[in-house]
Amino acid sequence: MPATTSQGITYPCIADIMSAAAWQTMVTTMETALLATQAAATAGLNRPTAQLSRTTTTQNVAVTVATVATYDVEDWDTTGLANIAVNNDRFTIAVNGLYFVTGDITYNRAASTIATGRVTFTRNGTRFAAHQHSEFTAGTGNVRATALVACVATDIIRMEALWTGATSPNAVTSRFAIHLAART
Amino acid sequence: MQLTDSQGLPCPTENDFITALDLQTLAEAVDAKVAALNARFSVAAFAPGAILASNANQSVPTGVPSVNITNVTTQVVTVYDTGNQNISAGFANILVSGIWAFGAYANVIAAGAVTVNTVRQLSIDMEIQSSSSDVTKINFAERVSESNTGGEFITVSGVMPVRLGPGQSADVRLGFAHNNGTSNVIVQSGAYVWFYRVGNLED
Repeated sequence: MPATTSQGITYPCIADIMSAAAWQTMVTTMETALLATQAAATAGLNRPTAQLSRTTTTQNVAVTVATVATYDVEDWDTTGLANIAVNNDRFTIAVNGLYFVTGDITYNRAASTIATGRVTFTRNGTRFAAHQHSEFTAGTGNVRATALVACVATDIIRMEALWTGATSPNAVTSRFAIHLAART
Repeated sequence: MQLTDSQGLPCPTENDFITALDLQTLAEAVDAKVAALNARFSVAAFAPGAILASNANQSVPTGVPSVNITNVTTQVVTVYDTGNQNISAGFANILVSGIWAFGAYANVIAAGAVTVNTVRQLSIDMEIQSSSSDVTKINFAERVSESNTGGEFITVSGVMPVRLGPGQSADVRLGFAHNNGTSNVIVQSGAYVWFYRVGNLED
């Protein structure tokens, strides 16, 4: 009676008759085990990641109105986290895990008086991190945030822009990236 | 019977007589190799990581140089822990050497009057405690100015090596400091510190 190892490899026992069929079964089950390992390696080495951007066109953001950023370019998307043809404002999670999220909003200081500029990350519409700058009298109008968030499949991750000041709206550009840091 | 050069798998020589036991030996050897590879890939995919968040506001007095919000154990909950951190109430304790990514987030609002343009600083503090009680401290921070528009939102992140010797562990904590002149500043509930292991040390 053939036996099977923990990884599913079937081999003839000492009382079994040696045959080409037994050999074939063993090799076939070895191949199946190796294919599973290769799939695990591929998943481990190619973690889901994507970046969306809006850098050649601008998005108008009214003063003091939290506005979900939208994008017109998928810079990369290895596993279908984004689909801007359907929803141009989000990543949709497919694999449970801890996700590293980074994004930036560039406010146009030449067009508006920016008192504060903020980047906010949301999961299913609820804020989980944000970063705000108030020193817009010099330098660029760029605000960047990074965060880690625990997600489950179907969660929606988005970024919002919010500014205070004068001369609304402000035309902003943005980038928004995500990668799976650890599966859970 | 001989063994292959790189993986040590059993295979017959030209003069060997093949038996079922030889196939069993080969099957078990391959099984062990596959199981070991699967375990390594699983460790890589399910990298150690954690998120610790506060579940209540904490008032930070004026002039206090650094306040560890995780000192108040009743205000801290573990949001997620993928393993190997030995998470306990109030702090995270890393037990595995490696390159780790760290970060934190807090929304801070003055309890009373605001001194405009005073400092709001969020930091990540890591202490490596050795058996001889020597402590190695690593800190990095993000500092913003108070805009007096209802509070500030701060994130900070970075990557650094954690080198642990025998009997050592690393405590990771979230710090906040400010110099608002006229009132305490409240670290709002939901502030959190996060970290995950990126990979092995280079040496």
